[in-house]
Amino acid sequence: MMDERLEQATEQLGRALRASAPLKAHLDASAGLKTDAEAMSLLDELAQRQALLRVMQNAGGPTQADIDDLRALQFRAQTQPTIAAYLQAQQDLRSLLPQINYEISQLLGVDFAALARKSGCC
Amino acid sequence: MAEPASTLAPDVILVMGDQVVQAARDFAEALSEAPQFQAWEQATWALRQDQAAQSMAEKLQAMQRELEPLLMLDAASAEQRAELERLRSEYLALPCITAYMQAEADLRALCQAANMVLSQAAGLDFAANCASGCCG
Repeated sequence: MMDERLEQATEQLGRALRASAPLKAHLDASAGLKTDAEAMSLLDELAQRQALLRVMQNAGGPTQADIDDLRALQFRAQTQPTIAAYLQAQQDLRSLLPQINYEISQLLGVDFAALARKSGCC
Repeated sequence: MAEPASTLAPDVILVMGDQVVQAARDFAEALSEAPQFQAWEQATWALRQDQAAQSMAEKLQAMQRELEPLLMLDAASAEQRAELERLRSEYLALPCITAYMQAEADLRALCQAANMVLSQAAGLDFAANCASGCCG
């Protein structure tokens, strides 16, 4: 489907992106997160607490104490150094990559990323 | 013809690096020369030139605007619904519309294939990370 020139240009862009500082920072932060047991357990706990709250919303609603507990846990997760570094790196990347896509899309006259995303939400 | 100027702000070029910027432009150029892209451009042009399609699109839009309040209230008559459906089917069956839809599907498939190669080389899903949020 892709001719050789397009395949090479695509791989070249992928390699250039991977070598860029923001992507390296993101990949490092992501790897760091996966090897930080404390961060992973905090994220697991947060996911479980959020799931529990969703269930409670369908069964009378959570108490104020439940909500306060969740907020405290969210704060702990957001300020845990490895998680905070990951979130910052992800935020940086999410502000930069759309601009690269915009550059590509302006040259093409059509939004590349919008066409390239698989249909269906999330 | 001179290449159009970059849309990127100087600080973005500085952070991402010249290599990314040049590679992005080369990628766009290679994609614009792919047969699927050329076919899509041609189908888009043909659609814009087709007077019958344009006038039917206007008619369809006018009818949709007129019936929208009734459809929202579930108060449109069976005749009105049937007329809207007939016009919609006729529009979608126009040769320039079917050609455009096929060309867009082909271009979408090419972009998805390119995104897979791009994402594998980059180490993350490029298109997904360009979304501003859910369905962005």
